[in-house]
Amino acid sequence: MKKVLIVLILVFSHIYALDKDSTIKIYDEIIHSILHTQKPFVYVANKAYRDILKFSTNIVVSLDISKVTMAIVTTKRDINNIKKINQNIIFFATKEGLLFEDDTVVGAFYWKKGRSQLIFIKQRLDKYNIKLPKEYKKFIIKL
Amino acid sequence: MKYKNINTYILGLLVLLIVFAIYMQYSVNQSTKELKAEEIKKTKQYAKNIVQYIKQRVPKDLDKSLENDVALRHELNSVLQAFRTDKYKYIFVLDRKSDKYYRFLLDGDSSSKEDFHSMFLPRDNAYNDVYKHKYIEIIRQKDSKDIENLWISVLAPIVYDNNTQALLVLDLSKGYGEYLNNFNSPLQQLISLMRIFLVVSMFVFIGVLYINYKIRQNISIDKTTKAFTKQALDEFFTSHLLENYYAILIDIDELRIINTKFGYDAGDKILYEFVKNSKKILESYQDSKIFRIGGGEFIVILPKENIDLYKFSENFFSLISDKKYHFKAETIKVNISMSSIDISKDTTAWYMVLRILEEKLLDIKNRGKNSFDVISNNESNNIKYSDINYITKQLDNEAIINLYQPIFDTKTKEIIKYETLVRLYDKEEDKLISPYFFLEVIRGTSQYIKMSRLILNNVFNTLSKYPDIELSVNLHLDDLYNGEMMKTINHMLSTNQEYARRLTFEILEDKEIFDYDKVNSVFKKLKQFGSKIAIDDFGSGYANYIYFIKLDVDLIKIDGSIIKELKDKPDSTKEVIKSIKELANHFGCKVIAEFISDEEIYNYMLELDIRYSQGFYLGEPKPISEYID
Repeated sequence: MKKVLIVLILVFSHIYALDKDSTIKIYDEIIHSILHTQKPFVYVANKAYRDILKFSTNIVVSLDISKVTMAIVTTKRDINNIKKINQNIIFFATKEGLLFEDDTVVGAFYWKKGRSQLIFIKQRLDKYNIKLPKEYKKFIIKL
Repeated sequence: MKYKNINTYILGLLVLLIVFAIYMQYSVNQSTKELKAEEIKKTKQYAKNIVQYIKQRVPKDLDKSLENDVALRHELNSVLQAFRTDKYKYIFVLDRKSDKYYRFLLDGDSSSKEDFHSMFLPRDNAYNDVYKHKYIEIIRQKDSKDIENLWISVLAPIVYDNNTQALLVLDLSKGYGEYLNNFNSPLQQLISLMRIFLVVSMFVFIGVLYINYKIRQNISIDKTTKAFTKQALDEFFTSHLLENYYAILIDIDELRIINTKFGYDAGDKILYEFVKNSKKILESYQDSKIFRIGGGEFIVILPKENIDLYKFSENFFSLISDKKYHFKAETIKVNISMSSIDISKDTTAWYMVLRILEEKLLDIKNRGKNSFDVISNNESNNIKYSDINYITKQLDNEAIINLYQPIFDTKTKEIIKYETLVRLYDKEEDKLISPYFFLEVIRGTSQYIKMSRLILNNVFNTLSKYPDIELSVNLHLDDLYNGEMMKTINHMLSTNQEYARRLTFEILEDKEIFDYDKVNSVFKKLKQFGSKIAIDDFGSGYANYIYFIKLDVDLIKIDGSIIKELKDKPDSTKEVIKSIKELANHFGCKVIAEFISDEEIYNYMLELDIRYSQGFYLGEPKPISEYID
């Protein structure tokens, strides 16, 4: 319980460490690098992230999982729940660990030692036939 | 400190303060830079020490050793944790998995420790460079959306057998960088305050300069005529050499009459038109200016370059005096008097120029107005003798000489007394200076009393040295009313009583006497010492017959202008002289005729039986020794 509390505090502190505008900007860029539609529909599982990203003018944060093409997830449970409703969804994680827990997660964005970390897994991008813009090449790794 | 210099001093002070503030800012910046550089140097050394420690603890195969030995990993993590202080935000060790990502080997962070071999994706090429080139690198972290609260990262390679196996990353916190930036903050605050003060001062200064400029503009231009004002003239010659200019004094005669007859509007219009016309004439003379110094008085100044003063004056006078002015239905012609001067190099003050110009103008007016004259170079060159500072210096050096002109018994041609005539001695030029240049300048000042004392001392010395002679000295009517002057004279007479009876005071007057009682009481005092009283220039100006009735005098000196007339109108002049003589005889006064310039006039004196005669024909003013010794 204590560990959970610490994790929660860390997650929240990371979110709130970022200011609202730069979080929106970062996720706008990431989502548009994956989905090449003008105003994609995205599901954001974590409420804290959702409350920030709903202010984006470039993406539509939807609660209707059946209509979205991409989901921002924070826990394995989020992934499982979503998969129950929509199988053809692209997962993007807010934590490094999820990349290794679930091989349907194409990438993750998180913070380590004061530095932002953006990772895309090549094999998974290929699997979903996702073509990232050239400037994202440096973030693509092979596992 | 002159007022005009205050602005320069304030500006100088502000510039000094600005330079000082810039220097302070530079020093603070340098100091902060040095402080940071020192801190980075220390951090590099710190990183080296940590690397050294890790290498001692793990002599080879860092990754494998740590992978296989969990206890060692924990121990080294704890050591890194111990190395962390307030200024070091993160200390961790990475090994390179590929060009794109690294893995954590050690982490000195206790609260959010990264797992062993968890991924780290550097955004900076410096990581690969350090790995490749094996040197310590500094990354200055810029504020961006990718970095949080980091100031500087030190990357130190952990090299085994010339092979980089890992990187030590040592992060200095942003907070510490700010702490260093603010290390000099009290000084920085002082500089900021100084900056605010200087900016405000500059604005105030510029404001004051603007107001000053406006005020100066208002006081330097005469509203009626649009000529420059007297103040502007005074100011002009504080920054320009007098000797480089010609000066011309112009007076519109009878302006008061025009004002009375046609109204002030007419007077003002004439003045305005006059200046406009003058400016038009002066247009072709570069740097020439016209100033209004009085009601109808103007000064024109003209640079001397390639201009003949006489020709200019003649031309200028002709153009301005021919002008007719129109006011309503009237055509008005004005008379103009004008005097010009080529300012000599000896001139030290503008007032000296003005005085000599005004004297010349008065002379012109006495000759009938509506004319011009140019002051001779001789008069102009003597201008320095009108400088009160020069006169004061000469009096301090007692450079005063008494000359004596003999007064003769007309019949016997025996010298009966000498008139004392004062001269200033210019030692440098070995020249005697006529009182014409300096007397009026010092009249009414303490220098005048000083000079009178020197003259009387000389007189008493002469009387003492030559017991058989009599002397006369000139005394201005104003001196009789001057308490200090009369006190000095009375004191000198009382201390030289034995000589006083051989002394005659010749009273010069250029104004009417109103208080005869006062004058008589002064005469009485002088006579008590045995001195005699003579009236100079009798028959001209205010010195006239009323004196016989009102004053107790011993001698009268017929005015030279009457004697001169003997040349042109001998008969009528003789009648006038005869009547003066008869009247004088009646009142018991002896008569002296001056200006005896030749034999013809001397013979008239004999014919008219004038008792005493004085003039260049009989004897010039000379040192007394030349007449007696």
